[in-house]
Amino acid sequence: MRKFLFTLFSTLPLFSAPSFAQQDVPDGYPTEYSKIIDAAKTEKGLVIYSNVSTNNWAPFLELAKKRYPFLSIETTDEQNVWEKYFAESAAGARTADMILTFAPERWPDFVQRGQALDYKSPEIPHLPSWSMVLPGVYTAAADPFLIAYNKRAFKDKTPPMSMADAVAALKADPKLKGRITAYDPEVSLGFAFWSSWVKRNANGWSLIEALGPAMRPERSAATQREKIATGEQALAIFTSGAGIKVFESPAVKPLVGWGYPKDGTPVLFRSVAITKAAASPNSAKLFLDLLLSRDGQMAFAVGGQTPYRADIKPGEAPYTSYSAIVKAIGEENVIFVKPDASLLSGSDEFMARWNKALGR
Amino acid sequence: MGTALSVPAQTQSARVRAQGSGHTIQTAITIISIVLVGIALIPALVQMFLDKPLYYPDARFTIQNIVALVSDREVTATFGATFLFCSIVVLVSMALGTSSAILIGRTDLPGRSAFLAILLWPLFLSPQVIGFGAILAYGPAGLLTIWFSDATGLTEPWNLYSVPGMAVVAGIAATPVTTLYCLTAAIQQDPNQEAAARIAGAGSLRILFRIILPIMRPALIFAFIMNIVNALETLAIPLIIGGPVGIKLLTTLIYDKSFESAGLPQYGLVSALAFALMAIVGVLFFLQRLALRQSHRFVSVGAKSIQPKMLALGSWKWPAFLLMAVYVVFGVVVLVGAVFARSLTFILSPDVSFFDAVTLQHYSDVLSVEVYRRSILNTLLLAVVGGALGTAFVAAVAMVAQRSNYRYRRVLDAVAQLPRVLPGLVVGLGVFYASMFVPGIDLLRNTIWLVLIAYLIRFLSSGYGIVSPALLQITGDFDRAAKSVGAGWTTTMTRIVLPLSKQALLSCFVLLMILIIKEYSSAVFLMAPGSEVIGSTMLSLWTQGLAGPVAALAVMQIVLTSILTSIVTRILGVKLHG
Repeated sequence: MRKFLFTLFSTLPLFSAPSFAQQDVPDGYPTEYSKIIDAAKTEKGLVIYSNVSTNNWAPFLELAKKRYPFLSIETTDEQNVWEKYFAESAAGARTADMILTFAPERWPDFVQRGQALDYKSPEIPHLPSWSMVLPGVYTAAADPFLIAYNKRAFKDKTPPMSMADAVAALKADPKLKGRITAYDPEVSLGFAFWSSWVKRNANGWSLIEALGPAMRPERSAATQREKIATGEQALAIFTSGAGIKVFESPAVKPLVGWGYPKDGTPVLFRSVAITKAAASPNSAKLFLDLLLSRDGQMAFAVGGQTPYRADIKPGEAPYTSYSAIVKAIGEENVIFVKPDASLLSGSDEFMARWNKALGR
Repeated sequence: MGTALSVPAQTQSARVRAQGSGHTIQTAITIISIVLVGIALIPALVQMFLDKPLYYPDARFTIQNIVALVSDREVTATFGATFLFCSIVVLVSMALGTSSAILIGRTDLPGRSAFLAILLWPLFLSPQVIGFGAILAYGPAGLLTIWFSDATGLTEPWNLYSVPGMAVVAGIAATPVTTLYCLTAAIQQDPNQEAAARIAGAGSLRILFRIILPIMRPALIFAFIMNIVNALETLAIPLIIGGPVGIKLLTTLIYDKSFESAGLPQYGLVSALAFALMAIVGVLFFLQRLALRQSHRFVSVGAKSIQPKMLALGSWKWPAFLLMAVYVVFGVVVLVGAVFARSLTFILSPDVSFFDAVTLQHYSDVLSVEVYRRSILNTLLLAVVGGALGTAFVAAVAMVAQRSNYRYRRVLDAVAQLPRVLPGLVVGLGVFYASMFVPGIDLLRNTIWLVLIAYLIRFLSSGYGIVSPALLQITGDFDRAAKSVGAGWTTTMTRIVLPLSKQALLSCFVLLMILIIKEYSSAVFLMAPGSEVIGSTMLSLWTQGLAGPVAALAVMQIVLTSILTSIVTRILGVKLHG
């Protein structure tokens, strides 16, 4: 990893540009940007609540440390970012300067409560317009959800790469019953992409109903991956793209195959915003702009997140990238799961139908 | 203050001293307990009547949370499965726990100290890891399942993904606590009663059922109530095992409704569940009080003490050994062994040779990250300091509640039992609020010491459950004898009762350390960069889908806890068992 980073950074054009060290302001940024840098130098550390693990943050933090050595950055990895932020900011305590997480159902509420700082990043011209749906909220990564399968279970057969394929495979081999795992829509993340997937596919519900009785949903990618690898499960429909790193490792590769679902690959936005209660807003701005820059996206990708800038071509990022997904399945088969207030309610009707389809 | 006032004050305190010194300290202990438990309880009480988390400016009054708990169709539909689940959990835990405690603490069972050491392992692991181990070992593609199928030709020898399946796993996870609760009571028995029975010609079995078990009744009842509550609030194992096949229990349903799919968390529903549990526990404790009305009947530590004679098992020796071995091997070693094997392999699959997949990568993944290392050190510090402070506090509370004439001792007894039913998240939220509004505590914000306060509240009942029955077994004659030679309450307690309950205090200390090492939920709101704990690291790794490092961390947890336990027992010079 370290070696990879080294080669990555040494090839980055910005590092060799002599102008960078002198004027401090990144290329192409307005000159007033130096004011933000100066202000950040007087701030006392940057706190980020996120759902990214320490390991996955590491390559990007290394880059940030190099670029802005005066920043002291603390990141968390937790499931409770919103409640902690709301409780702390309501009590006037020190809280996050920045929030970075999926939770498409919670972001609109966060913005509506006036908690997101409406900051205009100088990176905006380089970002795809679809990645910015709420004022002040940017996309840090666009992570795909995959189909994975146990190679022994599909020996000498073509593994299904869509829900329709999966239904056909089940018809051909009834022994797959109980051996198909899905990401559970009881979990808000699962609901977010399943409901988006159904909206896109007119025959979506009939496919779910055909597959339902054979499905055993899981709430965690960890159990999904274990069960696919051991062969307890033959097929996983929608498992986290963060698993590519694991699926491609030498020990797991002979056991597990994976691909992008052809009838719709959910791509989830890992959104990021500076908070209204931020104690270090200028440090947060530097951090955010770096994260959205090409260098930042590449470093974030080394940690396992999926970069989405148009200037990152298929094969450039270590695991996958938005352009690689589009190249594989075509833009029309990408389902964006972006911040959306309607995801906050309305799961009841979906769950009733889902449970019926699964025979519960 | 004027002199006119100080004279009556002196007479007042003199009168108090005449009644038995210690009134001041008893009051102090009671007030501290009420404040601590109140910190956790008051926000939960308010939350129960609000439609949104209580720090939301737009939270409104509602009684919907309570209504939903009894009238919601979805909720009532879970009652059947929940009842079946709880019955099996309590049955398994009580049967295994009590028999292990008696066999280990009271008989000449061969290898009993080794059994005890292994038997406690599930206690060191978070329930999620135990569920994970169960899938690896006993799931449809589990190592034991496949081995058993190959040996017998049965295709589906058992079904882990069923209510009984997950209940047995949850029961096995709960067994060590039952064992610890009953062990002290089993060891601390008056040998004279047994000797008398022997002289009267009673055999071992008769002594077991007519003397040992009845005398253990306070501990058995405590353990029984704790098990019911534990079964009712068990979450992680039903989620990981029952989730895929759609089994819903009361807790998993509330978890789904309140944390995940609804988007906005409904802590009100969680609070309502907590108070419903509290009501159930209240009834149980009332029944317990009726059952233990004459506590002195259970006194077993008297003035004339001789080393208790171990009950000879005779011809039962090897059958008992075999039964114990079956439980320890298949209930503990296989579960933990599967986790251990997973920690050392890239993947644990019947399709791959263990030796092809073997690696130390997961250990270095955990240990090479500074935050993870810090979480381990923080947890160790919390375990030792928290275990010691907690034991001192539990002992103080138990002495006032069980061995004093203090007017409000019954209140204190009830207060000490309350935190048992408070979900960790609720306790954490309460402490979080205290750190905002109580002067002094705010200095502890973002440090592990705030987490420590939450742990002390959260585990008060768990420690109390061990110390309190043990105190009931020490005869009141000592107190009266001490009083007659002029000793006050404080002296009697510190010089006589405390030394005599060394065994129970040690068990309490060890239990608190273990519980602290694996705790997570009450720290959720209190954690800040720098004050991470092992539980949070584990959850973080798990949600990232990194099962290997989770297994590695679980193994480190077992090793650390075992080392700590053995250091403590050695330093204090007491053994965990007779």
